[in-house]
Amino acid sequence: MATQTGYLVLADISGFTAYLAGVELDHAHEILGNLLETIASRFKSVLTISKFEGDAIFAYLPSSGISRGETLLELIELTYLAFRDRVTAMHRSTTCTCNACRGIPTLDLKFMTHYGQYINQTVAGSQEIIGSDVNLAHRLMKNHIQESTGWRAYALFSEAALQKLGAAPENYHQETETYEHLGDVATYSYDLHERHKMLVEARRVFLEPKEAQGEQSIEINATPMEVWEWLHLPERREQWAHGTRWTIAKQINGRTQPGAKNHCAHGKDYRESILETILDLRPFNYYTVEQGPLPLNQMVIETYILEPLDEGRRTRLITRGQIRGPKGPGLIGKLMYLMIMVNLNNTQLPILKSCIEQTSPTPINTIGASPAA
Amino acid sequence: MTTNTGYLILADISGFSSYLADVELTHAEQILQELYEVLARQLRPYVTDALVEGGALFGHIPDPQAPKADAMLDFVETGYAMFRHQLLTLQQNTTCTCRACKNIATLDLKFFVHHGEYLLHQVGSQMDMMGLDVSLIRSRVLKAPVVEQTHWDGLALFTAPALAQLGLDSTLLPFHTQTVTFEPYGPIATYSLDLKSRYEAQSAANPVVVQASEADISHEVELPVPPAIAWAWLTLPERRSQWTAGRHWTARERPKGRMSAGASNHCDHRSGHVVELILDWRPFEHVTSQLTIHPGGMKARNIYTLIPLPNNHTLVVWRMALDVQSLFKPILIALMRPMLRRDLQRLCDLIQAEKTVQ
Repeated sequence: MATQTGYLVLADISGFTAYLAGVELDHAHEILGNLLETIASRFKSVLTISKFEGDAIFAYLPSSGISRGETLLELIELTYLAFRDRVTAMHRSTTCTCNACRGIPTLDLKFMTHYGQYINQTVAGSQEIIGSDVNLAHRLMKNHIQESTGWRAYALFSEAALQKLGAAPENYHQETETYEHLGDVATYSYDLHERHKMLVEARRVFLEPKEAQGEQSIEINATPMEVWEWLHLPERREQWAHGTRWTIAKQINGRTQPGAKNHCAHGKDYRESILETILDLRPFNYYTVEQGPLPLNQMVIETYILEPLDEGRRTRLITRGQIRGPKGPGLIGKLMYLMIMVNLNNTQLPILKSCIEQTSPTPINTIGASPAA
Repeated sequence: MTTNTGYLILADISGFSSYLADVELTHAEQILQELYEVLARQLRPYVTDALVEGGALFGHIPDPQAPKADAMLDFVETGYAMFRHQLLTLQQNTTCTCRACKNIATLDLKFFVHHGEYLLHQVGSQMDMMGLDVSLIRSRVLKAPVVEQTHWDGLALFTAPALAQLGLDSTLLPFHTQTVTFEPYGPIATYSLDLKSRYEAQSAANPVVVQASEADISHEVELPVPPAIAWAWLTLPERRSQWTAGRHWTARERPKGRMSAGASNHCDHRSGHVVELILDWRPFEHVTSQLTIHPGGMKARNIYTLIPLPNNHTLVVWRMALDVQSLFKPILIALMRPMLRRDLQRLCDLIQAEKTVQ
């Protein structure tokens, strides 16, 4: 069996041992099962689940599995949002007054991510991931983050993981943990409560069908995560949007999130340019951007929606657009948008589909990623 | 879904992290695979579906299937001995000089045995255990304190609830006793045995056996259970009384509170009684005893040797040597042989019947 290199990710339910003291096991097991299934269903879109370990899930991802470091951060945050939603829904929907049901809100979630080597082997009839880096990933669960920051929900990365993600360490809380046989390990973490609050409070910008002046859709034989990467990585955008040069103009605390900007050079000798501003972004689900300025100071608003098909193995990509100007779209605006739509429909989307389906996921330059404050 | 009570057992490979931290993964993988397989095989008679968890196997034994105190001690000691045998075999069979192969000897084994409540539940496609008692063992919180105080690499640790359930007297065995606090469980007393010293002492002692050439009566029978279960049937007095017709076995001497060389049993039968003195006690491998048969005081040496078969059955080789020089010896042999063979056949039928009921 060959040694592989990749991300080793643990999601661990915080406060579970304390929760178990004095609760009714038959209710507690339903609650735990529900929460673990919620985490697993999100993880599966990107990671391979190795196993359930009591109140934790251990998963991994070969380094070739993602091209954009930020994708892993987005997955962790998406999983955390789903977990919090589930906790809230379970607590709200129960009328049971047992300790297990009353204690649901005390549960929280933390993530530990390391990057290193492992071997996948069959042991006593089950598949096991082994290696010193696997041990380190598990050791990271015992850390001093809560003690030093008070955080109950956080995403923690080893230095190796952070480097592979291409993230800037200054955006993270830094600690050094000491583990027997493994020595000092630098860790970088951020508060998921804070991130959750920000994501929940973020303004929803989403073009509904009746608001859009045009809508296109295409089905692609790839997961929403793979399509997401092709839509966001500048190097990949240039492959399906011919004649454009994309660069990241601005990130918010090292992340692609509302307010972040991309620059697009196009036209003869790439002399023309537009600026794209992220208005709203829900990873692997949808995002809305504003592009412009076009002539007459008009701006294009576009929403890209990724609908999972066949249990997430395929994706329907829907794009909706709208021209906005100081005096409404006007006839010229409508004509311009018609041209954009024709280009998107006849050229860009078919090329995008062809690019994604022909290219197996291989890593290209990793884009930096860091938690948003 | 119902709450179970039973034993929670963690068989933890000592030195696993330090071993993996400095070795070639491809070689380490094969070595660990063999060690895991040996462990799983040793646990299997009582622990089904053990989970592999970072250098350990973790499983449970529900109370109805749980072994008695002696059998539990034999179970962990034999598991330990088999693990050590495998380490030795791996060392002897390799000429490889890589670190993974050179460092095999740094590995050892610890057992953690607790008794408590747990719930079996399905998560995804995996069966798992849940409960505060599960967290106590799974967290490995009991490991560091005992290692810190004893420096033992190979040990069996029993929590107070496990010891109470087994009915073991903590003053009879050479337990290292200490108290560990696990929040929110609270303080918990632990009792640990040094398995390595016991294994080394046993390995150094010469085995006492009855050779085929000196046996006056011998017989073989295939029992449809693994050696650990066959061992319990052959050695526990209450079980022996079930298959030795017309005889009633009771436990007598137990040096330091347990079965070992020097222990004795008593057997009542219609025309007298038998005193059995254990000469050699190698759990799941062989037990050799000296029988003093009354009236008359005739002595005999008896051995049951257990050989594991690939079908998870056990071949029991039974030999008896009558230490008498008398003209009546052939008559005695002729009288005893069919009786003892019938006993073994009855044992086989009983085990089969019990398996059918289960």
